[in-house]
Amino acid sequence: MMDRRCGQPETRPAGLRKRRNGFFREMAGNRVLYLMMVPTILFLIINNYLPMLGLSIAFLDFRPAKGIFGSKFAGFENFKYFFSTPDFINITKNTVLYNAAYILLDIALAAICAIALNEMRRKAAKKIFQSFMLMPFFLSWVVVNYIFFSFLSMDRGFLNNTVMTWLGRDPVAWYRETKYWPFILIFAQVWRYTGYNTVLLYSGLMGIDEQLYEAAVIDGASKIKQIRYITLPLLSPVMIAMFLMLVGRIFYADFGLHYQVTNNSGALYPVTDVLDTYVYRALRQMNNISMASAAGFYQAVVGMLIVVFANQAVRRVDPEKSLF
Amino acid sequence: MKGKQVKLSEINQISRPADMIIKLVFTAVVGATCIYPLLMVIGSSLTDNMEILRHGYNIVPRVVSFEAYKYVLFKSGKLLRSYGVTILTTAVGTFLGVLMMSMYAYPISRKDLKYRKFFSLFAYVTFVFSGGLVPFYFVYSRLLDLTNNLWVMIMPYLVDVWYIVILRTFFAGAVPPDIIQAAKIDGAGELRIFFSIVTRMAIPGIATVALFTTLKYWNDFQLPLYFIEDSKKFNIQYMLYRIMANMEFLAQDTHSVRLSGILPVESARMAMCVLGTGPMLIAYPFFQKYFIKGLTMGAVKG
Repeated sequence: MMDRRCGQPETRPAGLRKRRNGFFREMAGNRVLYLMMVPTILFLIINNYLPMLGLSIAFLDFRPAKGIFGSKFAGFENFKYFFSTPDFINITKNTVLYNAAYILLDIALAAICAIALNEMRRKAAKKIFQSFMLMPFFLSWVVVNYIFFSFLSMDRGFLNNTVMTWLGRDPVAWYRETKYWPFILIFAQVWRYTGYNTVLLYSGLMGIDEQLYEAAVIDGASKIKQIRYITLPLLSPVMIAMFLMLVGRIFYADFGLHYQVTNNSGALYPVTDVLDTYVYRALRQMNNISMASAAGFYQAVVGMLIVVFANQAVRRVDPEKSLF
Repeated sequence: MKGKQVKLSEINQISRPADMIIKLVFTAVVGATCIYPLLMVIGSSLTDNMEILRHGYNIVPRVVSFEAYKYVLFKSGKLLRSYGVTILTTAVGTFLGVLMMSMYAYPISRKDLKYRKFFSLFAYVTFVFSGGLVPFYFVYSRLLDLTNNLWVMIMPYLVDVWYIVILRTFFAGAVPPDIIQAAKIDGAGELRIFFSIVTRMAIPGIATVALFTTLKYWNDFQLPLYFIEDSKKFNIQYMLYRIMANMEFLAQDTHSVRLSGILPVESARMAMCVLGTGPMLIAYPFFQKYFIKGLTMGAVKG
């Protein structure tokens, strides 16, 4: 790869300028290209690298007015505080278990839909279904909340007003009953992302060589057998890569889903609260910076370890898709 | 040979009854989960407010009324204003963001750039290490002092490293190095090569990233949730959120005293919902071609 550099037109005799063939020459020679990168470099420093240093807030008795350097060092006090609350186990459990459910259902459903779409007879039909399935992906979580609210609202919701009346049941206070929420959240997540994931996997199917199926037909393989022995094996690397990439993010929850769709209802926190919503509430609603920063630090460190492990796993399966 | 191939793939189709069953299942599920809820929102927005209070939300309006839209579009300055904020932040953010990300992705896609590995890593590191919400919040609210500033709804989303990866793949795949070499020999500068050759050849990639970025800005409620308290600077999603949390928020308007009595709260909410989503759903079919193409290409690391 490096020797490609020599392929550039050399205007000067090679031996003469050899000494300057380093950093400055590269910078001068490609200055326009490097200058083009400056805005994003500055952005990443401010938006990503500075907050990494800001994680140190977790070890301080942080007072925003005094700043990082003015605040007193607190050692592990914030962590003691956070790890001693019962919330810590609950939000960790919720974050990981919800994400695990989302990942498994998302991939399974997307695979089924993609294969079904692939076998469907008319091209126009495939296109139409794809378009409509993707629709929820284009709605904001706020709008999703409105849609769910129009079903679940206590006095005006479709379920209580229409469905429950048909069934002859009493209305349910959906936003207060914790037992329904694991299902509602999982439904909302799967509903929003299945179309998107289906498109991803479906386009993976498009790459399968038609000749494989032709050979199978000649050998007398049925459709089911073709799916079992050609489609699925060829789709599985994509599914595994997708799985591992999602597992890498298992410690990061979907804030919009868990904050909006639950209507941020306090009665539901035991079953809906996840790390991201917890940190947000600690920081902005309870003004408890030490709690928020300790929880945030915990999420950042564990999250980082999981990303690294997942990436190593991705590299084993498909080096092309690993990040580093 | 070719004729035979076509014939085989025609033979190798699922039977018509099986095809019918799959299509019926898809129609039922997609219809019930993707189309029905949307129609219910639209139906409710066109229903007379008193009807909703009496019978709840429904897909077919029992009493049709355009009051909600009249109220949202003409009577409430607040709502229209939030629409303007969204359009402004989306337009500025998408333009600047796509420009910045392309200008970063292109150099690191060039195999003849000596430090491209370093700068790729400089961006990719952010996948692994992140500061989380707390430091992020203090950087924007304290260090940059952007609370209640419109820029705070633009800046944080300008660059997404995923999209840099997608763009890099596109630039590396869609633009042959020979073309860049030839343009150089013809005396074109790097900027000219980038803007008049490279960006044009990578249009599907840029369009995909632009669509995703537009969607992110348009649908965002988090940045105003963190940083904006001045109701004049709410964007539409955050306005919708506030109305959901507190219906009376809608009534705290300039003409609140006069209007509060006849406020079509329930239907106006749904009308806002329609207006807040409409542009994205209308734009989507035009983007779809690029969207699907971009999704599949970007997934592969170049």
